[in-house]
Amino acid sequence: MDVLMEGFSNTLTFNTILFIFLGVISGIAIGVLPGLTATMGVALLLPITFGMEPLPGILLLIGVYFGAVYGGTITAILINTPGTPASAATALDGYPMTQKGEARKALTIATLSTSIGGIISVIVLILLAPQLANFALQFSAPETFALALFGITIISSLTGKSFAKGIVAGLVGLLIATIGLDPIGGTQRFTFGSMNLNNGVNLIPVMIGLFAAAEAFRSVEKLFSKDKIEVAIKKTKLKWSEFKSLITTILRSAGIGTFVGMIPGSGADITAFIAYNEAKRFSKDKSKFGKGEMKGIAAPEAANSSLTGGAMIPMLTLGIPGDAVTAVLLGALIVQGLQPGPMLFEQDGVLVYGLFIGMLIANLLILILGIYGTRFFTKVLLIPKAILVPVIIMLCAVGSYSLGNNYFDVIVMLVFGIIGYFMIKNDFPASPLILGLILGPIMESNFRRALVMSQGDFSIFITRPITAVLLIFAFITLFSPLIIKLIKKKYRKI
Amino acid sequence: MKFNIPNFISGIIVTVLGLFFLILSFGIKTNSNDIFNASFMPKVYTTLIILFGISIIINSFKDKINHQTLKEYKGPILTMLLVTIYVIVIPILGYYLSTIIMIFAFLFIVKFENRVLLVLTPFIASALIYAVFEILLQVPIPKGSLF
Repeated sequence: MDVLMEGFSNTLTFNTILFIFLGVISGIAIGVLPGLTATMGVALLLPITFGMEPLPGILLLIGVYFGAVYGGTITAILINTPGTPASAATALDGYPMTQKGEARKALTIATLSTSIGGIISVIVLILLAPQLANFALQFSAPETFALALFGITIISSLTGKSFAKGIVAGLVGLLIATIGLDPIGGTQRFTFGSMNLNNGVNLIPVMIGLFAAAEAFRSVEKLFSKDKIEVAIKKTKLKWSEFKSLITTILRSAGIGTFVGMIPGSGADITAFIAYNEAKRFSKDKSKFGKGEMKGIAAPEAANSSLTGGAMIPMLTLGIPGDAVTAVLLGALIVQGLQPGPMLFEQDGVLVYGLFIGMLIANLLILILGIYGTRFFTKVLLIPKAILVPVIIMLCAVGSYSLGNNYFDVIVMLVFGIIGYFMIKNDFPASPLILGLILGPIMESNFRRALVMSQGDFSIFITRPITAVLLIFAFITLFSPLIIKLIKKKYRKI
Repeated sequence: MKFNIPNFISGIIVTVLGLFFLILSFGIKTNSNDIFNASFMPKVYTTLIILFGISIIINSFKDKINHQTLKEYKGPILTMLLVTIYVIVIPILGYYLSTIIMIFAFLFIVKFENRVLLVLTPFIASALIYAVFEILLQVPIPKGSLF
């Protein structure tokens, strides 16, 4: 409790709240722009935090993350173009409401659902994360290896359209992680005589290249489309009685979002669709869905925002990011000298609780900005796309350089930007590669340590119950794409 | 015979990449005779990459035909070339001058019509980087040998 109070007082400073505010505003602006994702926003703004204290720095990025998920909703409702995939389900009923002249009401529902969903998920995070971290403290080398293997298996097999391509991306990440000196004996691997590669490939330029530069290259394809965007927001307000009728839907969807978010590899888009479908299933009049039903906005919005808190749980307690954005956030924590995992709660408890409080503030800021600032954010759509591409590139260059003042990192960013573009074009997901890069050293060193512990006896991975369970999970995960495919088929038919 | 060409090519690239690193991993010099030495994991990863690469090749004959056209690659590839030149000239011209030239060149390539923005954007963007990164956050910016 003391740690919670200390975290509370650390976060309630002018500077920290200002940075959360700036993060949320930038995030909403990024989310509004179709083509710019939450992951890209966090990767692009990551370098800004290098010189900052860990708490305001990480909270700025969390603000961007939460803001971008919400920002995508504004365009989904107003122009039927989800700014981020997380808002695809919201467009189903959000845009019909705009067509009926109820854009203001739709946006208010989305804002309230987002904030309430987000706050619920943070409360679950505060209650659940320390327990999970306590449990994870029992982990020794074999368990850590099994956990890393499970993490990489689940992300690789669940993200992307093709199972094989997801696994290849994860394996390539693991292979890249072996570049440099090996973690146990210090042997040089794949350094090609380069001094720069002795310490391995730096995570940050790879992330900036894959998530920001690659997306910038892709957006050039659509540069010649000149859609005129006209946004009109009419003043139809949400009534209290209408809001009351949505509360059950919001709570149910927040529960779905938080729970699904905890499973690594679950996407915000599919979670929103699951919540949408559940809202439809529970509704008395299903025929209204798709024609401007308020519950059709409340459900996906509460789900996709509560997913953000859920996804933080495995990232903070186990060091396994739930999705691409949390992978970038994990990188940000590492840059700040923190190691996400059970020890984080032991060593930096005040910071962790400060993050939780900051997340609550970010959700409240979304509520305020969403209600009063929508008109302003829609103006962002007027920025010509052609200007955004070179601006993103220049930020990529300065961002990758500034981490270690190393020009080599700029080259790494460019190389991964190009690789990332061709990966996107050929449906290879980028997040397993990043996860492979993060988990590779953990997996390898703990695997070898476990075998040293057992004097080369492999039974150590079967006889220890937690290890065995995690390895069974990893094995089951390999068969999960088939099940997920069936679920997606069912929900996408809506 | 019809097949998914992009998947076929990506399968080949993945397999060749795996093979290349597998051969290299046999050359990793270790002092340990233990099979779980520094070359063990790279061998496991590359072997799996090769196997999955082959599965992508095989599946490319079953996959739906992908209708990608070379035309859609034109813009991105031109941009990649421009960014490559940009990255090469940063150590010579310095970050700011290279950035101004890169933005201007990009907007010129995409035939950006608003002339005021065409001229102003490179300078405003660079000024913002200077203000935010160098002054406010004191984050280092790449310097060139000339500027």
